[in-house]
Amino acid sequence: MAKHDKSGLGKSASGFKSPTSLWIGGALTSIFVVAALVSFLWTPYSVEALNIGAKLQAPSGTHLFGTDHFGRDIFSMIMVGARVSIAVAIVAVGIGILVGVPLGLLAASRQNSFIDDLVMRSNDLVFAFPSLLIAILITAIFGTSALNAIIAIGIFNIPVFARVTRGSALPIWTLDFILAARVAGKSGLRISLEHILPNILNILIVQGTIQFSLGILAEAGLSYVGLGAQPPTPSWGRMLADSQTMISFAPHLAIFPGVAIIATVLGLNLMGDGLRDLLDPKLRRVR
Amino acid sequence: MNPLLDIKNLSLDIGGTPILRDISLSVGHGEICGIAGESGSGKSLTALSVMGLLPMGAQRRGVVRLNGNDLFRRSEAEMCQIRGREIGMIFQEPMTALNPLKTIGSQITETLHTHSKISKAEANEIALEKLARVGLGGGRISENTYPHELSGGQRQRVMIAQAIAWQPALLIADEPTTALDVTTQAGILELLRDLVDNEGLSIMLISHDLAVLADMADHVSIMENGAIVEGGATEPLFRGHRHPYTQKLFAAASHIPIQPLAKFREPLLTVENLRISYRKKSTKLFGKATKFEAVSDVSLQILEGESVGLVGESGCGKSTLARAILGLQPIDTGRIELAGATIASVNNPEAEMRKGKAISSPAGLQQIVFQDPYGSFNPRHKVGRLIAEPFHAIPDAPSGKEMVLRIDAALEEVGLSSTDRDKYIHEFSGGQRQRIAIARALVIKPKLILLDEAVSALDVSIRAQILDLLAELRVTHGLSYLFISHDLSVVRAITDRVLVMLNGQILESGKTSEVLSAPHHDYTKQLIAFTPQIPADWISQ
Amino acid sequence: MVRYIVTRFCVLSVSLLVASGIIFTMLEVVPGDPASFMLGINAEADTLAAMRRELGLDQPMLQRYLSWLGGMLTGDFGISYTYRVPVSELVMARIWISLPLAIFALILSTLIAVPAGLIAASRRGRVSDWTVMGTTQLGIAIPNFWFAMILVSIFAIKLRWFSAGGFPGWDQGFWICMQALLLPAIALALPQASILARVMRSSLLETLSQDYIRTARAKGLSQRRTVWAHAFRNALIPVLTIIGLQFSFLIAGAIIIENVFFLPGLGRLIFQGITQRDLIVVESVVMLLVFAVICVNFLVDIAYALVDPRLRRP
Repeated sequence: MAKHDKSGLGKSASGFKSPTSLWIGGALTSIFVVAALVSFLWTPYSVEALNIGAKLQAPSGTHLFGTDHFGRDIFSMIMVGARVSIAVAIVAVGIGILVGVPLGLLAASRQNSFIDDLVMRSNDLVFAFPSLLIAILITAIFGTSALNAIIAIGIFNIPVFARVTRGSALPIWTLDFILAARVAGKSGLRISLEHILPNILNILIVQGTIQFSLGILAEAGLSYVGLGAQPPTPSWGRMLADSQTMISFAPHLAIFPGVAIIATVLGLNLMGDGLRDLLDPKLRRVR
Repeated sequence: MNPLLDIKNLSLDIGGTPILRDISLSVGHGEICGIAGESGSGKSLTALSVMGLLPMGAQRRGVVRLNGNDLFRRSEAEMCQIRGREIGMIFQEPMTALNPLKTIGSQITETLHTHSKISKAEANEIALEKLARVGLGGGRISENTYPHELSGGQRQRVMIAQAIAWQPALLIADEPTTALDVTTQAGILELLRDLVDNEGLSIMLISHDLAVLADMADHVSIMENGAIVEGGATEPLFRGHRHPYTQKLFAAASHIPIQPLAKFREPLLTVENLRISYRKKSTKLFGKATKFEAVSDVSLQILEGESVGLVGESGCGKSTLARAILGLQPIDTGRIELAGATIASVNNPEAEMRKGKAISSPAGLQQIVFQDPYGSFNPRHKVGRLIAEPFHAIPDAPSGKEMVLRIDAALEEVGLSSTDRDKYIHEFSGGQRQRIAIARALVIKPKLILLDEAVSALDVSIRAQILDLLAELRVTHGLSYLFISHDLSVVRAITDRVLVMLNGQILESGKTSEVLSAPHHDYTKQLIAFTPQIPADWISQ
Repeated sequence: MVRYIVTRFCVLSVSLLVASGIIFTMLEVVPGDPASFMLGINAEADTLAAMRRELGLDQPMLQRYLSWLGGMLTGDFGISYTYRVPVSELVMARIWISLPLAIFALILSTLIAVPAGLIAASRRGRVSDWTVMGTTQLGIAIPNFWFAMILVSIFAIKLRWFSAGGFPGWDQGFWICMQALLLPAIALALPQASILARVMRSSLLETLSQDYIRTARAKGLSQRRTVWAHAFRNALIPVLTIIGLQFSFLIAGAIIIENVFFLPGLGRLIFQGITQRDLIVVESVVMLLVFAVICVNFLVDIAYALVDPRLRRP
């Protein structure tokens, strides 16, 4: 009689991978987080000072990544741009977690009830509005600002977290230890916090890193089309939009911000993969 | 005549770890060869070695001959021709062993199309014939049905139909009835026996259940830790068993704990005219939801200190009844009273329904131990916290040092130590987990413990220990048990009185020894007749 | 099956109704009066009033919502504040760029992803698996508009194989237009294909560990045939979900990509609408895109039922 750990909750020692991707991903991510933090105190050049005399310089010893059409230092702008990207993504993921996770827990604790249906159907509805469309609507009403990007990406994150939370909570609700807790007279809320949440935390952490990386990409897209951070605040998407007409004679303007985006997103995704292997090898990736 | 299947000195390593050592056994023509052993003894991997379906990194040595044909020397392509054509195989879990997206007909004809270029019509004809052969013919089950529309027993019959579609000489059956109810199991075993008797099939039957093998097998091999410790013709082996491990296994399988002398006083639990129903959604577009009565008009009583068995097959309503006694299940009508406290009482269903069905919160008088030792505990909490959980239910719960003392006392009572308090549940074996589950039930000193298939998932030797523990605790604490099980031998071992349940009703009740030896109701008779048993005179020696 | 389709259709209708309500209310709260915006600040009071009457702005909100909804059902989206032409005309001229682009990208991404996922899963742990996994990891990280810019600078500016942007119009011939859409579609498809390939791989691996795969092998099917006959179709179910979800990302992505390639599609229209505060255009285009996403999800639900018999007969 073969016995399996049916709950899928036990720690599986076999199949443990070396956390290489966690290290690489963590290192890449920390580079950008550190760059963003340092930019508050120091950047090689000021990003506001224009220096037309030094415009469109190729990368060199004095300007590591070259300069743009106003003579601003690209390296410094990428440092400051990291600030915007990371801040927007963190707040947006925060909105998604703070609203989505409780909704998902609530829906799972009242499976098939009216509340469950309501939460899930509103989720489906929000899914029909890609964050870009939400951003467009908000911009049409309130005008452009970095706040738009945060709200738009944050709203889109809510159903993602609600769905993942509910989906991973439901199988746990069927386990016997939940029944044992109910025999002890514990309420749905208390069971959700005491028994469900700790057991889905690893899934939420992994989903968090994925949404974080998607947030960076979405922010870049929004500021590229002018719906995100407004000039003069440097942002990676904005820098790419500005570089577009000069790409044939100053390719470094497009390459460095692009590589910054790719490296950050890649780092976060690798970190997510590593965390998933570390926390639970059986976890499936949900997007 | 040479045996059909001849295994000589089979050894198996997976990733460098030795799994099987020097397995030698043979299956003759028209024979049923049993392999018995507890979980992890290597029964299934022996079968998969023969099939050549081992996981990656497996290294096998030895000789396996099928009709003189050395299987280990065959290429993968040649093995594909042998599988399904010369050896068929069926598995334990009929619920997941069929592809949910394909009709059963197409899954049976697939065996045929794999091995020859026969026409669709011809294959279809054979499929229908095989469906009839396994008892699903006569237009009862169409070949266009999908697996999810069938019951567990029917699915296992479809599995057999596709395994024998090409009329292989050998069928490997890996725990084919373990997941099934007693009556369903009897039907499947009868079918297998019939195939051996009338079609000359040979079967390698793997089972943990010695009674099933006593009933079915011509000879049996007993496995322990990847090796065969003893083997031989079934009856002499069962009568004589010499090897210490075999002796231990047989003793555990028929173990009966020492029972306290029955002296019962006051009624503890009273259930009166209980009815519980569920709403079932209609399958039609605007059809009305129909009511399905899971428990209909059940009355029962459990006395203080009494151990009562509740026997019934899956879907008979015993779990719903248990949930109601725990105070977790809204009821339609009736009354449940425990030690003077009302768990649930509904007299006027119409009025109560409108308010939302009435349930009062449980008061810590009753506790439960579950079947699955893996899903019963939150893996993120330490044992101390797990055991402390029921304190939530009682008003004057101890705290701080006193609570720790109570937890330690409970741990020691179930044979564990206070140092286990700070461990996590994954550090314990299945049997130890079941002890922790009992400690959790015991810690608030309840009057009644519901044991929901509490020993069904355990190997026989562990099962015997847990049954002893339960018998002992019952005496020291004056506990009452409601022992829910499908396994009559366990019920016989530990209960004073037994209730037989079918379709939401209690058909028969009475002293366990009386009901099991002289049942009144036809269903009970059937249940007892269908339960495989080691013949009494085989053991008595 | 009928019950299932009817239920899904009801969900579709309710979603559309609620979505239209949300969009309408959001734009209702916008400060400013379209009539004064159209006529300028110096307009006379009675001209303004006449304009408001003409636009139907003097009616109560609910009535305006219902007539907007009714209008859309009959293909009348109202009149653009800035262009003074029916919005439906503006939309019609542009939808035949955006829609083919999104569909083209969807097909491209599926055609790349499914075989890639299949190869990676069936050669798990080998070089081809590592290559697919590495490439997709990178593909997910690349912003599609940046990839589009790089494609333009290499294939249009340096190599001059394609034009750098713009759209010739369908009357110039199918292939010429497809050529103009090829680079944008590749840019759109790459990240989506990366995600899809990974989903395909993990879904296939999951399916391959199921009990019925072992049953098929015990019947004598070779590993390869087992993958085709049993694993592939079953693994497609989660892939379908992702394809449905991706359509909304493709729609959003198309809006951005149109900017890189100067394609006069719905994306350009919506940004013009925002800068000129032509709210009725924004409202209509957003509604149209949401409509497209909801419809695609409806089709995905139907596709589920075709693949999975458990949904067909509840």
